[in-house]
Amino acid sequence: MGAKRRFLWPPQKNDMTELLKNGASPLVFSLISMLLWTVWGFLGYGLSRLFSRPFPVVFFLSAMTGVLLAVSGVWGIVTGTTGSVLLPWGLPGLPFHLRQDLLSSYFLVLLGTIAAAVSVYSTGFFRRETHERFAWISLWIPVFLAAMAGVLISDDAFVFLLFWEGMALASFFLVMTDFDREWVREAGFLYLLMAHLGTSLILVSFVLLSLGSPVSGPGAFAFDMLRQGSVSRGMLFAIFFLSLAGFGAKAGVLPLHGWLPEAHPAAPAPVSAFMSGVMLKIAIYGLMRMDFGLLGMKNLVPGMGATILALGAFSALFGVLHALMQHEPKRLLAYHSIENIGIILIGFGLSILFFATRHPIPATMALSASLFHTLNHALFKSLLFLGAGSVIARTGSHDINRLGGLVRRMPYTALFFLIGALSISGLPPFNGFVSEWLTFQSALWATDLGETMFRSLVVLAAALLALASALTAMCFVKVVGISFLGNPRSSGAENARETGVSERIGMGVLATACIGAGLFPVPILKGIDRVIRSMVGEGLPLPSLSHQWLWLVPVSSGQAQYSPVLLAVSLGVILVLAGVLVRIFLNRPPRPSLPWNCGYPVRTPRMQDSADAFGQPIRRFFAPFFLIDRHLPDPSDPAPEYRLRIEDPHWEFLYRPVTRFVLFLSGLAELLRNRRISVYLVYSFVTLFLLLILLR
Amino acid sequence: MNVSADNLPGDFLRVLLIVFLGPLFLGWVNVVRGILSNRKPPGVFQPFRDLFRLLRKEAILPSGSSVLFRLAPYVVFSTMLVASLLIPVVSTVTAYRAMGDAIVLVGLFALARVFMALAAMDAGTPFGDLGGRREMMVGFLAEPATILVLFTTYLLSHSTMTGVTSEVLREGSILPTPSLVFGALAYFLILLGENGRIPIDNPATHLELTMIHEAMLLEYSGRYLALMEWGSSIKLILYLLLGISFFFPWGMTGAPGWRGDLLSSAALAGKLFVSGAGLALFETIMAKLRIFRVPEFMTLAFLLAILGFLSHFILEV
Repeated sequence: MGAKRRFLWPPQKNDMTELLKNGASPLVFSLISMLLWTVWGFLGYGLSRLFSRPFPVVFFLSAMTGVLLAVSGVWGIVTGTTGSVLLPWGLPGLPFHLRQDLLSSYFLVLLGTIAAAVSVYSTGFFRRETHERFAWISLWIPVFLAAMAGVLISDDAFVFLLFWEGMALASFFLVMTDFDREWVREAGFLYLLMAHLGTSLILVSFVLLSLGSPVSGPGAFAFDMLRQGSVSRGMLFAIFFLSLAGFGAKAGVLPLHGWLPEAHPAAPAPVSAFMSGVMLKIAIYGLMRMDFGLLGMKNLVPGMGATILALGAFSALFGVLHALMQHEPKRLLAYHSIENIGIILIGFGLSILFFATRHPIPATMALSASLFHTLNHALFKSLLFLGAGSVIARTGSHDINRLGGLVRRMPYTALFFLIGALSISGLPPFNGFVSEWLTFQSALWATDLGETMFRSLVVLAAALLALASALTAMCFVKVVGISFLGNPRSSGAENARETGVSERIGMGVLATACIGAGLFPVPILKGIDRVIRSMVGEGLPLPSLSHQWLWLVPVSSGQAQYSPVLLAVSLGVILVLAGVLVRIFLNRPPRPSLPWNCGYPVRTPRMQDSADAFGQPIRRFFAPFFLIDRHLPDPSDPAPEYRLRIEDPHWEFLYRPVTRFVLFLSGLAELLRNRRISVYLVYSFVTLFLLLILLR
Repeated sequence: MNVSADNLPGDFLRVLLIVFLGPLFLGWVNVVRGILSNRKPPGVFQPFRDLFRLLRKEAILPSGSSVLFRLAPYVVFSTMLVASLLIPVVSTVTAYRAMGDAIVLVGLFALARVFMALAAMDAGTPFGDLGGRREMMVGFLAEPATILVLFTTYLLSHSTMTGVTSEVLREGSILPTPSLVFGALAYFLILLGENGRIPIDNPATHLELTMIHEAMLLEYSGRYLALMEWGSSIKLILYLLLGISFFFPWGMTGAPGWRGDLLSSAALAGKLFVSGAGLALFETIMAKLRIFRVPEFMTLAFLLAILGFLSHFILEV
């Protein structure tokens, strides 16, 4: 464990100098990164305002800062350093508690990596913006990144919520980039509403938690004090569910996912990549910090795990089903984020369930699957959002039904998008498969659970996970097949050009990371193992990680093992061998010709499948999951109209009734307003009177 | 202990055996089907003749197709060969050395399916799109059902390594347990669906209303078509071998030595002989399902698999 530095309140004069003098530590690196990001933000804003032109170089500086942050995180994990510091700001009696432990470090690596890759992409992507727009974006993106890093290293409730709100507001401003469009404003409003709903729930859960804290006053909100506190059982459940709802609203867990499919298409692609790739993970971090850190392992009961597990399984299935109905690429990816958060929660719920029933082996396995999938999802989802952003920018179309044949016009983008698609579909030897495989492996331990209900729940959740993953494959066959393959369906797709060099580099880095994490999961899992050990005191059983880097063996090789490298190598060898054999023995080049198409002579691009047609079997089969408004024209109709609208049932059955109820309540409150001054004086008098009676 | 380099010749032989067995088994099924439908059957080696004829023919690339179209047959073919390394064929001696377990196997089949469907959509013809969509539709239910069958076998053997599972199940009682019966039934339905057999798909027709597999391969010709067809025949035999090693593992040897290997090979040949005839009989007496009924068929497989593990939880523990 690293040195602990404590600074006293009131602030001493040489606090900051001592912090720097004591040498570099991961925490100092993280603080410097946050500071730099803030500086770059204001620099970018100032420069582009001053000289009335964009300065993409600030995104490059942001990218370098991201690398610095990732280094800080890796350093923290490798050396097992936990650093903490008190900064002399904040409430009286509650200075800023900052602390970077291994869990923070892990998420900082994730944040830094994605920040680096997406910022490199942004240098090219935002090059042609007007200087006003550029100033706006280049101010808020680095501030957003800094706020996310701040959430990860906060160590008291006050500073946590401060950064949390900073993150929410910065991302809100980014979603509102195109605020002159009405649908963007609506999406932004919805996002802000959900974000604040979540924050208030988290705030309440912190307050409830602080009631059991051993000290009183503002000092009770330090995480250290919250950890030592003890609350009654009923209170414990209240805190658990409040925080689950609060963080869940940010992560996009059912039924509080409504903002995701609206906000993601509204924001520019790199912003969506940050929000989906990183910000949702910050919410997962909050949940893990709350349940494993603050509530404490001893207080977890199996029912909590089962709740999270069920929520996760439903989110996974629901997300992918609605993704299959979409034809707007970023909306589709947003629904896939809901699905993947569901998969992460399946692992997380399994681990709580197994920990609470004293089965440390599957519990750590599930937790490592969950953490690994968090990283994987960050990698491939950012990649996919960037790919979708390039396609939208180069074709000018937000509808995949108007694309087609882009593999020949944008070969690099197509290749990177395909890698992302194979990764998210959970196919070997890519990274998504590893985390799903680990989740399955831990779910198989369901036999060890005592109660048949929990056992069946675990197996059913695993079945839903398998279903969701197969549906994801279908959905990405749809996306890749319709937008990149076939023939162009519009002139925009016909005349598209390949995306710029820095965009390609940004996507290439992420695609390489997807392949790397898929081929060499063991070093990453070793890091995750350290994180888990520091969190819960238990790690993966010993034989599993003492094997060579080649083999992923969770428990024993008689139970399950997987070697992605060997698999990929044999796949490659056989493929090349087959290719060479065919080349040697049948060296006759293939002849290009018209497609046969069963002999039908007429063929137009519009005869190709559309996204809606591709999802049609799903729409029929899973009809109860959708609200379908379908209008078929009458044969005699002179102006025939075909209409199909599919809506999320949550809007009809949850959000709109709640909205109506809130409006009704505000209508009642309105009755109090708009009176004469005398009536207001009566209000004040009655209030005073009541206060005097009640408080005496 | 894990690196399988010491067994490279064995693995090589196994792959060669599978490459040969795939078309041979298909030939045998077609012979029996011919006899049952009162036709003069083609020879058992007819699939080989077809493959070699295709390999020699000139390949035609549909205009507008991309490199994916040419790459996919190789990916599908080599994925199937790699998959054959994960399944015990003659003996379970190398059970602990496999480079992946049954879930990896399911993932590999999914990989091949995705590439096949993408290649079908590459030429931009409506038939290809239709085939790709239908293939994914069958797959999205077959895949989770397969995982559930694997869960059931895991409950009995505490392993997802195919070799270890068949080792454990072979040593168990020969009396079937309810969970295994449900699992086997579900697996049979999955096998039919995944390999495009009647009643899901008819490998002998080119009718647009019904075809799945053939629609995807419509634009393929020459060597590419040969690789795709060869890969599909290997997929069928792999599904069958996996089913045999889970539900009928008796006769398979678990010890090294040529005597055991020989006996086991004889047993395997017998099992394949019988199951090929059984498959042909089933296909002859069944009618093809409407395409809209296919999800119901696959849901049945899914439900049977769920019944499998639930009956283990309720009846057997």
